Amino acid sequence: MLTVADLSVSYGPIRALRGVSIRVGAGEIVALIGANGAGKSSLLRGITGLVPAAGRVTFDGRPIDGLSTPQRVALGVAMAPEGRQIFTDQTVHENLLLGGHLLRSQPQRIAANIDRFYALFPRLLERRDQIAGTLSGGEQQMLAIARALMTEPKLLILDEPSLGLAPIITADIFRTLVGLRRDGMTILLVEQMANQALAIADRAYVLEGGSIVLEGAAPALRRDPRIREAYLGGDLAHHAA
Amino acid sequence: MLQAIIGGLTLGSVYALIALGFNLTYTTTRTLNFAQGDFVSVGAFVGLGTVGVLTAALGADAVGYVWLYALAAVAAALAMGVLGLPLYLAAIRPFAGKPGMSWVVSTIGFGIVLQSAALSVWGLGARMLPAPFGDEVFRVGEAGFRSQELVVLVLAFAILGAFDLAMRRTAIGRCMRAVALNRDAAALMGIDVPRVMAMAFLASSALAGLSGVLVAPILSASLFMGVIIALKGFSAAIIGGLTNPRGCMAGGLLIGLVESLTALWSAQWREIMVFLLVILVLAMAPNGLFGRKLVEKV
Amino acid sequence: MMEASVLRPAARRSALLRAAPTLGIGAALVALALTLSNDFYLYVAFMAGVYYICASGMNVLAGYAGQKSLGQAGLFAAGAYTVALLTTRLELPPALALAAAPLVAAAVGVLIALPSLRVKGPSLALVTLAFGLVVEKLVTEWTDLFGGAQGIYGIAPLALGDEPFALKHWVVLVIVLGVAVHLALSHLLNGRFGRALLALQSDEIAAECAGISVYRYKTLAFVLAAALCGLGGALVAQQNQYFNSDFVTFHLSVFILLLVLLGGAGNIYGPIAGAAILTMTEVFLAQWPSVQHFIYGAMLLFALYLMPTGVAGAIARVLPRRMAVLDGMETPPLTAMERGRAEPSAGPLLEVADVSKAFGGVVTADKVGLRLHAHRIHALIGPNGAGKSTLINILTGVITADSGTIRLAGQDITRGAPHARAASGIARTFQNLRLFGSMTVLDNVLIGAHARISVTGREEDAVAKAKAVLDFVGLGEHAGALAGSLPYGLQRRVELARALAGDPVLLLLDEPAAGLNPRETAELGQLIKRIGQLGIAVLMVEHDMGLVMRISDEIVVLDRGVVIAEGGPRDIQTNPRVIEAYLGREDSPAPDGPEVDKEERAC
Repeated sequence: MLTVADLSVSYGPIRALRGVSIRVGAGEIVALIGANGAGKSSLLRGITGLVPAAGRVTFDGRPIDGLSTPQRVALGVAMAPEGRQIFTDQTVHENLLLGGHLLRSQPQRIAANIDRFYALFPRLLERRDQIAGTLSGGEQQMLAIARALMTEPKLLILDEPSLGLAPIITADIFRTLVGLRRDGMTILLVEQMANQALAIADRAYVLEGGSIVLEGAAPALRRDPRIREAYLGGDLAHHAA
Repeated sequence: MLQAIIGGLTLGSVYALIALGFNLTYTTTRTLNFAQGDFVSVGAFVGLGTVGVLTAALGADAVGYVWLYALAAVAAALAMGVLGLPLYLAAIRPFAGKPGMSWVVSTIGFGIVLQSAALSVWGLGARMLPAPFGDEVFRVGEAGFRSQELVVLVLAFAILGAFDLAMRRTAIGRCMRAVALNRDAAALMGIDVPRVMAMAFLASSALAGLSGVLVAPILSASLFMGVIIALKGFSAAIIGGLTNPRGCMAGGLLIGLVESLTALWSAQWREIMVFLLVILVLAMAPNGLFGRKLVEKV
Repeated sequence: MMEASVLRPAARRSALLRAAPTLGIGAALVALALTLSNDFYLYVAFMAGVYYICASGMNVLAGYAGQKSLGQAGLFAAGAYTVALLTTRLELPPALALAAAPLVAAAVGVLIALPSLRVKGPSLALVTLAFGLVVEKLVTEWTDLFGGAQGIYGIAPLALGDEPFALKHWVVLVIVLGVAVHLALSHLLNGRFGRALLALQSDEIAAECAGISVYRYKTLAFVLAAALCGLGGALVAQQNQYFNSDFVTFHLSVFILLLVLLGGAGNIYGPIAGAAILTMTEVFLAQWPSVQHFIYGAMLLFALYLMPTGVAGAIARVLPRRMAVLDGMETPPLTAMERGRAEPSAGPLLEVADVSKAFGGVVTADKVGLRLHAHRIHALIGPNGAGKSTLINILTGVITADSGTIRLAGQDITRGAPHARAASGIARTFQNLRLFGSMTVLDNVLIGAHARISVTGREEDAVAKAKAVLDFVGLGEHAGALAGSLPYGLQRRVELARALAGDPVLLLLDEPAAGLNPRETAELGQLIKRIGQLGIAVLMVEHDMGLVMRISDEIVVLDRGVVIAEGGPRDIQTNPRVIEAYLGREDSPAPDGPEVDKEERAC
């Protein structure tokens, strides 16, 4: 569904991503793991067009690297960005309405979608008219996911949904992702919490220093000692590639 | 006293309109139009011109003057709004998002160009735009005020209220606020961010043009009248808190009141008082009275 | 000592040598002026000189310090009315009044600096603009004192004997003053002072952390600009022997800013170019005032788009760069760094106790304790959001702790400003590189040494020292390059050199390896070790665990604002709490995991 070929991202003279290639098949959960500063967010920003990137991005058989972010969203690429980035000064409901921006000519469809996601996240329905900035971290993450789903994506990208959340809340969020996948959603999940991410993913890529250093089926990677070394270092660190 | 308060609120509501315009462009693009004053003046003259053209075309008494005035206001708002787009393209877009505030200089330049062009059309002189409901003075006890003051007060408050509502209740308002808070997140919702920015300039310029037509019957219209009005609108926006639309409106009313109450004591000192107040407020509260602090991540 | 005394006269001679071309051009201009007899040309020359004087001050403020003031007309007025009132009301001698004008204007400049220091961006524009307007209204409305639009007549001009100055004399005077101002400013701006201003314009936080008191330098810039603008106003008032409120307008303020921006802000020759060009424009377009206005507008609108660095900047880009001063300079190796302060004693160099910080309910540091020792390399690690950068910011004073104490070599520095802490020996680098990108590598390093360079010291000594630091980090050959033009890995090292240049006792590195490739990271590791060998205590926040484990003597692990582990690399790598903080729980729930429903899908 998504093919990224030789993608590089630079901020001024800083090369944050160095020619990364990944592939996400329809219906898969693919995890992208790696320590802070490994280039995970840069890869996602390159895929969604939030930063200029060199390389090819193909979605649903169509090159999208020349498109603006809203155009990519319209084709079905949605992202719940790092740190959630919900619209903290608007209500929960307004955040969801903003997610329906591209469907604004079809209010019934938006309303139906909103009802669907209130059913998926009953907590959000309880807080419907609350200002989003006053939600708890877990609720904010749910809102970020629901808001992204409001764009009716084919591919849902999540950037560190566990950030700053207690483990039990993270587990809750991840359970939701598994449910979404069962309903046919394709998910690209970026996580620092490798163990949790690998528990629900089909395949995974490990990013280090802006390059892919490891890839494979998730269960196998879960037992691979090189994962721990990628985070905490070790005798083998830097030989993984 | 009552008279001074009404007068102050009247002027203040005009400052509030302009301050609101500053708020719109600042929150969405982090830039301001320093030529807003020229948009106010030229707006007033577009209004005058509209009245003149329509009177000539339709005959003096074809429609009531109230309608002519209303058309003039709409024409000014439209014309200035449309002019907001070249302003955005020429003076703002090359510099938006870059450090150094070069847009201060470029928008001042745009204003001088606009003013020079207008001067060659309308000349230096001041002109009177008649008030739609005549110049009678109403008396309530001791206080007397003009019909136009009420017109301005009612219209400006209606517009401020409508904007406030629109920002909170409509889809376009939600988009504006989303872009103001977080451009990337807004783009991820499928919102066309550059278009929202251009729209902010359109709205802000239209507000300036409208303000021009509103105040023209009170102050006599000249191509120099706008500068001081816009400066007070700018002051209102900053001391109210540039990031907070309601703060901007409150700032406008505050400045209007300070100005007219000072005038009770000494007309000459009113502007000195206003701008001293501005300096004082900013020395105490650098982000304005109701503004948010922008924290830089280190 | 011997060497120094031998060097001094040579230095003085070279300063004279440097001034020679300017003096020569000044003399030529004076000669030219003396041959002119046309009053119109003389008046144009006089005004060009006045514009230059105003603009050169404004250049310090707007071009170097980056404070774009829109109220310079108020200071112009301060100078003009000073001579007007002193010579008419108090009947003081004209020369004395002229000398007093810049002083009065400078005092007014302090007044405007005070509120301006607290605000940035549009608010700064407004404060200065409001100041200009207050002055404008004051001189217009307070007719008893300032005469309003009627003005003040009979301002006493300078005189030669009993003869009042003729126009020609005024021209000679502004040329002499202009040359003096140019020489003084060149000396000032091409050294410690100018570097400090450029640094704070480019990045206030980085400047502050390099030991520059941002407040003090901004105030100085305001004062200098005020004094020179006041001098300009005084000259105009005395030459005209008349001054009224019509001179003092917002347009004058904009014009003074335009002189600088068009000429080239932050370039010592910018004001000259600006004054020359705008005077010419004025002369040629004087017949068509409306066109003149229009053209000013167009210049303002497009000048910065077409020439972001002004006319002087555009010319400078065409001319070859000269950067030969460094060749053949003898530089002592850095191992012999003199450090009288904070001798490595038995106790810890830096002691952090019970430091807490919360941002709106989110606790990013919770009773953190830390002890750092000279000669040792400490690492601070922890997952995203653990509060590592916050702690670095608290140690450098960028953020103030809510509670707790920080002691450096026994001295309490908990409340010190960043520049004061830098001066007492704490240096840092930043997570997101904060170099002064448009300045040379050498200048970056000299800024780092700001607190160590004495005001009266010789530039050559400072440069030699900076060169030694550059050699130490292996950047000697790049001294003359613009910092922003270097590859990223080298920029990281420039930042390190800047931090080292201040002779720190404690060096804080915020993710020094971020964005580096493995080879660069390995070199960085070596460099950090050598820095530790100089006796400096190092604390680095780093995510590259390979690097951390290789070079650290001691590791502190932070998670959600709490220290969860301390120890050597081996202990940390096997500490279960650390592993859990990083990777999550080993037995993390896998609800309806892929193993369950894998068969249901074919992908």
